[in-house]
Amino acid sequence: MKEELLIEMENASFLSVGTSGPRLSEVNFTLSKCQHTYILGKASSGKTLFVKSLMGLIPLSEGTYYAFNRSMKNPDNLLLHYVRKKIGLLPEKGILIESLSIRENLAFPLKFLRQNKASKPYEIVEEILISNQLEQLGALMPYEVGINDRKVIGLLRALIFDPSILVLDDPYEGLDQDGIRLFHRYFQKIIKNGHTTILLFSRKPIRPQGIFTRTLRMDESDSLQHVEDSFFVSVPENTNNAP
Amino acid sequence: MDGILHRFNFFRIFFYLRDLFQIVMTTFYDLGTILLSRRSFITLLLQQILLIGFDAIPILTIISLLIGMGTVAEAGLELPKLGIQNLVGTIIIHVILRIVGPFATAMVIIARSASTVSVEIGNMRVSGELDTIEMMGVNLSLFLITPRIIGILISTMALTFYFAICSFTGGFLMGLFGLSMPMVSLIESLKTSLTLTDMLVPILDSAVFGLVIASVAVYHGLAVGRSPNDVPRETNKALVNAIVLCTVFLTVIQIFIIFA
Repeated sequence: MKEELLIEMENASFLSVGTSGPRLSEVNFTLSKCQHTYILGKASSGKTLFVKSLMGLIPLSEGTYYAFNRSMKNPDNLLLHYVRKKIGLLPEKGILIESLSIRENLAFPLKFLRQNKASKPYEIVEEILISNQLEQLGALMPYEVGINDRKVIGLLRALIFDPSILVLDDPYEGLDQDGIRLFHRYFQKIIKNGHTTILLFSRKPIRPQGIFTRTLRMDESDSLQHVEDSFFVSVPENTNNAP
Repeated sequence: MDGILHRFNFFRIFFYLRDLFQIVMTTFYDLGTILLSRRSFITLLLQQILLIGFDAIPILTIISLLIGMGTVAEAGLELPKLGIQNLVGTIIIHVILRIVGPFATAMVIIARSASTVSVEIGNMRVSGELDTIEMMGVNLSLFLITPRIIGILISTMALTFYFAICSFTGGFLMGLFGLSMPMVSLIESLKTSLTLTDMLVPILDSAVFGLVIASVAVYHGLAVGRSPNDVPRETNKALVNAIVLCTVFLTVIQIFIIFA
């Protein structure tokens, strides 16, 4: 059976519009369905730039980039909308919109990306909050909750449309051990679901057992190389606080 | 050297005005899209009107009452010396309704809302929220820009008329209690002086000021880079540029009306 290719980059270079800032050059990368990938990179190695390029925020200047078999060379708004809706994102910075409550943050993509009856997004959000035992957070503002909860809400928002790819940009940053374990349990649930492929970028070599099918390392030359398993530290699993 | 040359490049004002015009045009295009697809826009718009318009009422009431009182006091004391006391109504209408009302309202909106919008958008840029919204596939204009520009536009227009009403009230109070002017003659004087143009000019003034203030605030909010230091710098530019542009447009509109 031929594997379904989600992302394909060949000698792809990306450059920020109107800036002479950092750029990604000649990236070769493919991501197939269920090929859960962990990309390890030092600080300033270009992980966030990679994520922004993947999401079409930084335009492709050379090479080819196909997302869901559609060329991302000069994409129009419709294509960008399609690709971004199929990729769930947990960004490194600006995870939640500070002026909106947690409930409104979760409802945000439902309200602005899909035609719904006025009350429908909030019904969906309420279900999500209850099923994840987070209903007490709904009315709070982002600055009133801890980093673990902020990241979990960001993760739930990224999963709200049941995306084909879940992109996580440095998700472990700021998390304590409980937070990391909680994330790993969410990853296991996502993998069990079978629809979403995880693409995780991190500077920390914390890799859960049995989740990622490959591990790559990003270096300054923008090339991605395979990494040995011995490189990672493990976080002992604890079953006390289930998601 | 480039920085110095950039500062003396006066042509950049045209590019700046072009960008502001583009922001306004995009807003109206997106407003059409929003109204057609019935997105949850009304709540966002009402929030902005509440924040920009409704919350400005206390400070605007005080300012307008005092300006109305001051104008009538000045006119009531000085005009009889020149023998033209019958022009009190005309002068009040010209000064308050056509010039001071729209301009003072614009100044209040600039001080309160242009800075708020600029800082809010700038902080969202610095914290990465704008990138996140964009990467989620949400049109920034629908969520962030259009409600603010339309909110400022509607609020400026409504507050300009509120200002005029309060100023006239202040003027009447001053005429009645401060100058012992007969109320009937003051009302009669206003009635005979008021023309359709006097009603249309504040509408035109306030609409132009509203669009100028909103587009300038949004432009400078979006112009913030990655550094938190950019936020106060761009906010400062937004306030100064909004004041200058409102003054320029006020003069242009007055000259246009004189010649028209």
